[in-house]
Amino acid sequence: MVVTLDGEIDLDRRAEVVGLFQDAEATGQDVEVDLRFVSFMDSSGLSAIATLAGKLAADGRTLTLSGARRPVQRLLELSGVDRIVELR
Amino acid sequence: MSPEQRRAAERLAATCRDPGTSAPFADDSGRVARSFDPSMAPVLAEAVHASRASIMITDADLDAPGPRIVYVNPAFEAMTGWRADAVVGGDPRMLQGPATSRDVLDRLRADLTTSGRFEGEAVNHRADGSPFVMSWRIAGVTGSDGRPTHYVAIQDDVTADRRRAHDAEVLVTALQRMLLPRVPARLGPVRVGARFRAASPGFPVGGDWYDTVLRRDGSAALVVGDVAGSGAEAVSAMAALRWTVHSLLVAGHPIGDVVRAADTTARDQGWHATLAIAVVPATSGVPAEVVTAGHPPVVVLRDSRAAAVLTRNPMLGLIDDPSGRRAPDLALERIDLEPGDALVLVTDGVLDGGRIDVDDVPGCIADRVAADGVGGDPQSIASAVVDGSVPGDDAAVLVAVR
Repeated sequence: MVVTLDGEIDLDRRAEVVGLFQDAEATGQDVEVDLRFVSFMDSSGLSAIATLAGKLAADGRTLTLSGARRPVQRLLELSGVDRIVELR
Repeated sequence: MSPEQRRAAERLAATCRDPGTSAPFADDSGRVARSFDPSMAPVLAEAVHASRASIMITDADLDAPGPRIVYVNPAFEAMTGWRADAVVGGDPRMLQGPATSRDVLDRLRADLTTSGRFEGEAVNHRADGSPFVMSWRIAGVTGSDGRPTHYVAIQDDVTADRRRAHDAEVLVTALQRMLLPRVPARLGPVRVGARFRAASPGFPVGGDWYDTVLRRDGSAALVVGDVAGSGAEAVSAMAALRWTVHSLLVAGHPIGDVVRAADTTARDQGWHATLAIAVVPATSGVPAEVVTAGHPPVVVLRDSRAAAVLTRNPMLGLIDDPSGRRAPDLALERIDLEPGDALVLVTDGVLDGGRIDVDDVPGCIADRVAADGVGGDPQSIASAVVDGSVPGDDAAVLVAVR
């Protein structure tokens, strides 16, 4: 199950992203979030990813983040989200 | 009117939202009086009579003793408790009382004289003396000579709306005072300044917070945090984390333990937040301690140079890993501060919502402070850092100068 996000993932889009993640969680599969087209992510986006990672881990499933560009990569590292997901 | 009603009216007066000016009405060009088909008059009269909005029509004599009421509809009777036969022939002042804003009434007269229309809001009274907030607009009806012959007032009882809005405002103000208080000018060994800018001026409390704590050993603790999310949920989470951190710092716990406790609270509740804490010891010569958890770096300004202090700990809620194993020891930094050094703690709203790269944070802060030429005053530094950022997110800055 691949979820592709684009643009700036911030507070304004939190509800949309959380909805996409809930759909992905409901599939029962491992989830990959494709961040290639994401230019920026704020703490609400990081929080949504961390929440999804926690739910999947509790279910024995994995969350993979792919294609993060450098600014997004830095934010994943700064927040510690990089420690609870697979990065590719 | 009873003394109780009078006091109630005074309280209601504080909730009024008078616009202060009478805006032009939506369609001012074709007044009904000039444009309607005269054969429609009985139909329009029926519409006015059946309207759910309270309607009062007076003649146009504004001089003392004032205009005479020529008509009120049943909705007026229901809203005010006054019967039509008791008010027709009288003047509208029976609705007024001591708490009715004199300014609004003066403006009413002035606006009707100059433009033939008015809109405003004030405390009025029902027949039984009970107060209510009335919002109303008045349109003049002109005769063939262009002079006003009548005024038509459309009136609404907006008491419940205004009371709700007022209560919400009181609540928000109380929350703001408790969660984002003024900081003392001096806190033990440091001088302190803080500045907060809310994303939404109408709701000036969000997920960002700052706090200052004078610890039992005389050291000064500075805290800035940011809960992910928005609205009431973020405010509740912020309040819980703020006081968790505050209490443990007051009690003198090591800052690593404070961060762990906040992490546990966040994890248990499913919250994510970032946090920076700096503790400046009471005695000079002992280094300050800094911890950041998923948070932008703390910046140390010395003369015109700036350095970042960043400890790579995850954000609150992620420090203990999901398997429940205890994470390695938290990373702390110790820094030597000289007299005049400024510690600057920010949330990412100051960094244009995090769009400024982590590595560029010290330079960016130093530039804003230099551009403002604010010298060593912590409050001025805090203001320069917030005011130099792009508005959008909540933004908090706390500055301590040794």
